[in-house]
Amino acid sequence: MMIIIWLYVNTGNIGVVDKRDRMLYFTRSYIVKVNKDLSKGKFGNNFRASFPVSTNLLEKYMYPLQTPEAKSIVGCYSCTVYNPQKHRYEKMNDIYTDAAFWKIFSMRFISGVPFNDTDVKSKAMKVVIDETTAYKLFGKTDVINYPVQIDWKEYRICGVVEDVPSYLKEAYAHIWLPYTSGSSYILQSGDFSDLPDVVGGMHMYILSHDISDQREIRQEMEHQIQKLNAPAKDVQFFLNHQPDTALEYLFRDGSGHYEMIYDKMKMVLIVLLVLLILPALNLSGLIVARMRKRAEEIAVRRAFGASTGNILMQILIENFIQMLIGGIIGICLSYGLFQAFREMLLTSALNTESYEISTLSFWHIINFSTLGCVVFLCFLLNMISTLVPAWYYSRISIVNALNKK
Amino acid sequence: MIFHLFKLIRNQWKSNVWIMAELFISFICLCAVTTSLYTLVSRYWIDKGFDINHVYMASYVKKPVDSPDYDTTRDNGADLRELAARIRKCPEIDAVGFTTNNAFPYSLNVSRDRFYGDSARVSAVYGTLTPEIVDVLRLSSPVAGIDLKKEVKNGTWLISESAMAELYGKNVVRTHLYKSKKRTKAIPCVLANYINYEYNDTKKCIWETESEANLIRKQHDDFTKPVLLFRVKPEADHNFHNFFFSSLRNQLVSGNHVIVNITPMNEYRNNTLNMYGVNMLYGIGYFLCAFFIVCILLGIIGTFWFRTEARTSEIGLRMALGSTRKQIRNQMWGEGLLLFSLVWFPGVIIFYLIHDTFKLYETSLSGWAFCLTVMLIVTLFMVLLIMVGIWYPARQASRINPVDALHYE
Amino acid sequence: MITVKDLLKVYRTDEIETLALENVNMHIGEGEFVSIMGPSGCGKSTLLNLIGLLDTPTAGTIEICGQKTDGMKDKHLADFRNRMLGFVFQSFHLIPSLNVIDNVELPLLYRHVPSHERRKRAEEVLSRVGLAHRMKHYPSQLSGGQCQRVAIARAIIGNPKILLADEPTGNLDSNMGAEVMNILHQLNKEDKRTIVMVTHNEEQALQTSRIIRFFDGHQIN
Repeated sequence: MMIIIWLYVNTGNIGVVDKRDRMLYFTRSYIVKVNKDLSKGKFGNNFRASFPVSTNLLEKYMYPLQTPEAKSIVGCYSCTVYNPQKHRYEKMNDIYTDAAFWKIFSMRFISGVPFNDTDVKSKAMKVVIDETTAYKLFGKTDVINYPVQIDWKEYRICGVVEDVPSYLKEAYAHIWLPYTSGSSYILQSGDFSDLPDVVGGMHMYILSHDISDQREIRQEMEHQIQKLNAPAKDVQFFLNHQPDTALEYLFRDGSGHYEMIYDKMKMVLIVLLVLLILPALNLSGLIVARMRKRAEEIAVRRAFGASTGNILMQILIENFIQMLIGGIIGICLSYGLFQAFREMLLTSALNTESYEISTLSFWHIINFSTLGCVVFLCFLLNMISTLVPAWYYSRISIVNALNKK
Repeated sequence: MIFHLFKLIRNQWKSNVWIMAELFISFICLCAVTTSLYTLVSRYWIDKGFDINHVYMASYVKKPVDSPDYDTTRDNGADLRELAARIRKCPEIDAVGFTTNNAFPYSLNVSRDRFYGDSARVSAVYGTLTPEIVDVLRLSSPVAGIDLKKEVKNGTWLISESAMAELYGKNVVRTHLYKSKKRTKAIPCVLANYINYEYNDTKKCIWETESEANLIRKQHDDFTKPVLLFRVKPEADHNFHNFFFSSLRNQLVSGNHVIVNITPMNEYRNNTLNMYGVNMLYGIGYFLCAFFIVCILLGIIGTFWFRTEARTSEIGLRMALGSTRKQIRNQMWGEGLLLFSLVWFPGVIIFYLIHDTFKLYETSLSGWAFCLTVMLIVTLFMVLLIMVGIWYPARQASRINPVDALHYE
Repeated sequence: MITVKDLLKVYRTDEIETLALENVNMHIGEGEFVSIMGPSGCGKSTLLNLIGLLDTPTAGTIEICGQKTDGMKDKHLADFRNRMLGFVFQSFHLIPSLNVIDNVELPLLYRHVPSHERRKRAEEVLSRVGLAHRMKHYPSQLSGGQCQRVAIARAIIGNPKILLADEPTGNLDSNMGAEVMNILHQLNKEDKRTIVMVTHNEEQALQTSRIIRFFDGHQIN
């Protein structure tokens, strides 16, 4: 269940990140040698570098994409904020983004409104802060139009949102600003060899109409990248199978071939199977021992009209109910353990200052999806551990069982 | 009695083969798990050569060049040194120093370079530190009598034992190395086991020592800025964060530089290991080890428990024929241990052949000594499991009235 | 009602073949109360198990109420046992984790009878065997005679045409045994139920309408 919770927290629709099932992630520039074999085995030899994407590349080649419902440039940084209450500077997590961000994530505004397209285009010095930051800086949340010094630039607060838990790493920050208002190091785009404007610090979240659009969006992006690569002779930009779904993004390696994503998924699946099969085998032994004790009872039931099907279903259902009870206790325990070890389990590679992982909300974890997983896993465990002993004991000789042979 | 036990085992060979198979696989798995656990844990305890208790990292920022407050007339290097000097003046502070961003503890920004001895060469982790870092991180030499503080003040570099062994051999303490193949400039170096990250595979490290001014001058840009570390006196290290910002409130800004936070290095270590998934990987490793141990534990105890319970009537009969309770228990234990002993030797052979697969890192014990240690631990553990699995049901079964057992039969 | 023709039952293990029954031919009519007698190991319990469809013969046929039982599939067999046969065992074989009324209801459970109906009929049969006041008790709380009466109630709740009793008084003292035999006679006389009883007790066998004797797997009479 810990693995299921971990997967769910990172890939499920939770809180403000409630469209993950339709979200795609474009997070890395992969630079490779031109016209070389980029299959998994040869990728390492022809790979040159990988870094986040530049703003220019995203603006020029990805904004024009037609298939997605929304596209948002996002850069996760930490900024220096002057705290007027404490009279000192503090570092805070921030996100530089655009207006589409508010379409992709369902942030709840306590006051004010988010910055819009016009604000972004005009490099408006507007900022959205969260509730905690509002209290930290001003002692209240009704702070619309208040000034705040960020990286020694003056911004005006246009909105205050409810805190975003730090395990929702796509949207987590304390401050959200239009990326166009950021300092030069935010917007800088570097060249790599003869490829201009590929090195940067941003990435893009894409909201598709339906997740099945992933292939189409990828093709459209490939088409755009061809334009970028056209003049390059030494190196080229390689999408490496981006954009990713949330699950693929979770397993993406910064410098590896995209097929390593699936290798890692297979590893997780193998670990899950081992974690399922080993207790199932143990349970099987326990169940066989119990069945042996109840052989006489089974024989009596069959003597009085129970068919092998009746016996099989009785044993399976009995064990399933016990496993379900265990499963529900298990998920509550898992929730507790996950809370205790959340900082170890939920790393936030995007945010460099997010040292604290917020306490996980109970309802973010215990809901229909995860409970459905519990039921499914219990069913699977039941099948693996009980089916064979149940089938065997439903067919025992009545006479031998009654005579305890 | 032993022959009697062998006879019992042989006559029930069909069911005993399964038990022996379970014992065999459990033995191998437990040996593998113990090996992995041992190597994981031993990693934690290796001598890293530094001490980060009461050490803080001061996070500072430089105003963005395009911000209206940026003063282009300032000497940024001097401003940074001024900040360090202000911290140094605090009576609560023991020592202050700088490192490059690849040379402080738990910097995962590892860079390597090639260095040359008189005839050999080594590829080592490389970074730069100011001499004061010896005090800040309590760096020391593995060789007694070497005062690293004095050594580094003269510009001597620090070299780890593994790197030294590769360049000059194991017994060399103080020597010289070269940065280039041409071997034009000999740099003095002395043995100091500073490995900035215990989960790194390599222990070959070479640290250049540089004055504060030079280090800052060479490294100072936004992406490779020097790292400012300081050590607090233990008696002053209580609620130090608040104390620092209240007592140094007006001294945290120097030119374009501002100190925005201080982080205890223990916290930094934890955060880094969390953020880069190291703790998660090790946590998963420990969890899987614990999981396998619990599975094997339940499996073996369960197997022997039910096996003994199923022989309740036989136990009753034996008692009716004159066996004492103690003899019954000993017989049950004897059978279980005999079954285990039959698979022990093949298990030992197999494990010795494959033990390297599970040895995640090198440890102080190796080869036969390591295998023997692991096998001894596992053998004792399994004997305990078998005896626990047999003891209670054998005790219960030996308490039934023999008459009831006969009647039952 | 029960017709057995050329019945053969051989038990085979790895090395040994044991002839349990050979060349058994008999007919038991409706409403008869028949005893099967013989020394230990003569095959009487084996015969009862075969008639009760708890085991399958090596050769021969068994016809019950005009229906041939050889080749019946498992589900059909289970259904047939449920509707046509009732069993009373020497060791009672009550399910220890169920109370008296749940034990008695068992055959109706497999007939998908609604729970209120099951309860009603269970109370009726328990009253008949004189154990209505022990409905909520567990087998471990009952005497041997009471256990056997519960087993009889369980055997008749489904209104089977045939009752098969394998040494029903074997584990009981003479008083309790007499009680149980009274109940069986009552069931035979009042309900016209066919009863086939395996017994060692000559006295009890003489009270039945016919005695069939066996020796070493063969029918003597």
